[in-house]
Amino acid sequence: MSTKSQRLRAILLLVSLELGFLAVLIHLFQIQCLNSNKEDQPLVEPLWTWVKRGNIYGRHYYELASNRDMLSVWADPQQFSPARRARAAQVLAPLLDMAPEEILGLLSKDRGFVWLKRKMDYAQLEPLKTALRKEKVRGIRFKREQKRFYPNGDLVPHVIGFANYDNKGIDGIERSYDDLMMSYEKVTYVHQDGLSRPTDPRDIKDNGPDFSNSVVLTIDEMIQYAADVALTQACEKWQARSGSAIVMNPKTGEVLAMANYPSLDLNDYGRTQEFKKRNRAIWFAYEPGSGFKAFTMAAALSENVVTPETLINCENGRYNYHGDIIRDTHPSGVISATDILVRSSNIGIAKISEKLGIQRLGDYLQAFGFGASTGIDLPYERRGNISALKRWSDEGAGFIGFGHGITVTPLQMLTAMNAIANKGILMKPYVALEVRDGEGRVLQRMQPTEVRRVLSVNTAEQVVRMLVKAVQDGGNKEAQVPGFKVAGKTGTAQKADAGGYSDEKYVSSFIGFLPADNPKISVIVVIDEPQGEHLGRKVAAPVFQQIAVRTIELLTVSSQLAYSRSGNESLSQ
Amino acid sequence: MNHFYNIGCPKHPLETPSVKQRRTRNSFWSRCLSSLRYLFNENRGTHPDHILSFIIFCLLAIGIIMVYSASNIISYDQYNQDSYHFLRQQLYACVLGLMGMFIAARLQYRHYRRLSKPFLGLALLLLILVYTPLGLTVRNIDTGKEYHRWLRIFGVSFQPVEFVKLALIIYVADFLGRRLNHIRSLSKGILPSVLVLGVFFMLIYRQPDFGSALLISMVVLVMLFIGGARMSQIALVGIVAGFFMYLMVKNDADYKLDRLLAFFYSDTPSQVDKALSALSIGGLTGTGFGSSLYKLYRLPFAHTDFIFAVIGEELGFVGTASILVLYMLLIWRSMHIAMRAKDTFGSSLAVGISALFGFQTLVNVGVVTRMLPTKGITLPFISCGGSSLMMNLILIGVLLSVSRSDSSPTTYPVWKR
Repeated sequence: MSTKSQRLRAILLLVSLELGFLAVLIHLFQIQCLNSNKEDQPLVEPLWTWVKRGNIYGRHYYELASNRDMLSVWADPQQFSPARRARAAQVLAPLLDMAPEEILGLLSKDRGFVWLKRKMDYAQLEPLKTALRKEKVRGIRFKREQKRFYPNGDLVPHVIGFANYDNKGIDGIERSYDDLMMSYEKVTYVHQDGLSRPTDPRDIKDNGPDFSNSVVLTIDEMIQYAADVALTQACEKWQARSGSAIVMNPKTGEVLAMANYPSLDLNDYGRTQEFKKRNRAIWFAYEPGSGFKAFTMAAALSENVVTPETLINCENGRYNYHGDIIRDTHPSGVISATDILVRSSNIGIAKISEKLGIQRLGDYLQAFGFGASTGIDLPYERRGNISALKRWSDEGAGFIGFGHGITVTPLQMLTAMNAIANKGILMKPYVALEVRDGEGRVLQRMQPTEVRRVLSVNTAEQVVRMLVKAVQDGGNKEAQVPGFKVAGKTGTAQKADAGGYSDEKYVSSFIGFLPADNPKISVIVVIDEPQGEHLGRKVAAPVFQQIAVRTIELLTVSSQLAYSRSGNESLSQ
Repeated sequence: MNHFYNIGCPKHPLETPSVKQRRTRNSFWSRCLSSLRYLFNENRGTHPDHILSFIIFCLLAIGIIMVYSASNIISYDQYNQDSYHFLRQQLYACVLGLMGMFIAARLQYRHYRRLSKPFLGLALLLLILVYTPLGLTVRNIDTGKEYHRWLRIFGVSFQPVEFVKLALIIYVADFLGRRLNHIRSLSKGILPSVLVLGVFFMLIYRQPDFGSALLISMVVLVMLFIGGARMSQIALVGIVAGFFMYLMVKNDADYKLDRLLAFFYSDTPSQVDKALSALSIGGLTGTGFGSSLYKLYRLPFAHTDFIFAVIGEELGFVGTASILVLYMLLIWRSMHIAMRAKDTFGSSLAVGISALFGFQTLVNVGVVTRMLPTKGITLPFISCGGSSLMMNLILIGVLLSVSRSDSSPTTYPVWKR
């Protein structure tokens, strides 16, 4: 230092710097020693995570609906210069299976966030990352999303329904139990870093479920498969337009199987035509035809209009009923009321209906649940149309008596038949057996619900005996199941066409239950517009037999394996 | 170019080279060889300041260890599960920097005068190159603001502003050495160097790197002040600069004014509050090496600007106080060198370097302890950052070179006087 003043100034700088350090030191002493707060540690902080949508299980815990981790790719377009944008588009195009122009368009948007591709296969993550690192493309981000996945998507598609892109149920169980199964955000308090990633493995022990509530169906996977195969084979054989088959436990109202043709794979839901997505078992309203005679007969017996032995003249197959000609397939003379069902005489049942009167017939049909929702826990159920009961006079009752002039759904038919099988008590059908929370505990177990008593026990048993006879003595040998007494009724109805009934379009059906004395299962098979053959006996009855035999086999085997996990003693032999 | 390899290499007095010998002596390799021989010649001149070297080695050791502690998680996440990326980078920079320091210390500091103009030109060039494709543009994700602070040449990226510090200090020191007699006049004295400073300030401010620009101007003003400039003139410069800065801040309100206001009026917990919490948790002895929770993405720039907070959390007041004491010793030692230097150039160099380290450390620690608003200034020798560490070590080399005076027997070593 040349001059004294320079020296002084240098000392001034030195002293002021050292004083500055001293001040910081004192400040630090205050912070770290005097006001030290060890409790200020970021010990636990709230962590918001998504609880996945609940699964859907079959009765035997086969997964019917689940979730899959999917990879979604996004980017912040504002972080990309034009050159980097073009480069990123070139590199990403083959990896995302998109056109480079498309990616370029997305990346050119004036936004801070843009999805490049959503819900790709998660296995793509590593190849993508490697390629991006190699090509030095930055600013591409990944997010894990859930996609609904249906491991057995073609088994009971119509019952399961569908959850859409936003994991919102739009059909079937997915819709009716959407509130219970919905994914939601849960909060847990865990050690985490600044990016909200948990850091302490000890936190992970009790953070609640990863899954929302699951629904277990009453659908038995094996029975469902049997019904599906039998129905599909028949529908393909007869080139039918559509078909449905339902298997139920008549005593509880549990739906064991609900098959529809044409069917679909839920994992291809978006590419499926709309008509395949219909759950025809609850949506298809048809004129039931002869199968309906059982209910008319039940009403007449209950009102003591006839007894099983009452003799009625069936006019040898041709009868002028108030100006309309009614014909029988098997012409008969004077036969008993039982034989009217056995021979499926339209004339006989028309006479009985007329005697019963439209008022009383209507009361019974409504009591059986026709014209109203059955209350099954599935959306989009049709009620059928029984407005004819109000509009028509007593003469019209004759037509309604053998299932014309009104429409019903297969499920309504089977539910009503269950009332006959169940000693006159109508049970509410249901497909969800229980709701379990994310850790497998049962939250809610659905109980069989009695709707009302429709028939007396005596009347119900009389009808059952008539139906057994209808299968044994009538032309319904195709529906017999070896070793079991089957009660059932065929149905063949002409479809209403413009201005009258069609000669080519029929709905063939068979409805029945077994064993007749102590029913375990009831089955309905409805096949719409079979080609070549239209008699319910030929078209639907073999399907009934196939399903019934298989179901009885399965139930017998299952009962030995403690089938009734759900506490349904009635199902075990 | 020939003279470049001969910097500080005196001819051996006993040597009277023949024509042939002279030809071989002038060849490239023999010049390199003689330069190396010169560097490693132990018996020449006096010793550099060993206390200063010791302080620097202590700081380096702490820095490397703490950089690893603060950066391993971030490095693991960002660099393909490689925990050692930043540590390795820091070690490379440290080795290169120590080599640079050794060379800079071995040269006689009077030779730096020759470099003052070329260095200044090179610094200017580098600052302009930042805007060419050689520059690395970093974009803030939240604000969308672009930063042109980096250059990337041959796969090596560095911050030109670090070189600017060295160039400007040498330039002003050289300027003061030459203009010593005119220093008290405005036009011949401080004005030229203030104008040069203004150019660099604007360039750095444009990057934008307001903190570094402010730091450099403070260093230059202090150098002028100690060089003997009039207080009134420095005050005048200060007022004019303040006026211009006010205009700029007004135009750039979203960037700085908000930050200033946020500093004084913010109620929400900001990144600085997190640094305070980290220090507070540390207490007297700290939570233990490697156990910081705030380095897990809670602190921004945990391994660079806010490494002091991580040190405070892991090593406690013991750690932070020892580091501060080391810095105080460093400042004392470098000012000591400045006052003992035998000419104005040397003392100005030392003053500039000590002012640089002093201010930089104070600003960084002040930001971490919430005494100052956030600036983006690193902690010398400790923060992770290759170019910064290398240039700092070279600056220390220059300081050591000043401490190791010329062969003049009357100057150094001080402890022999």
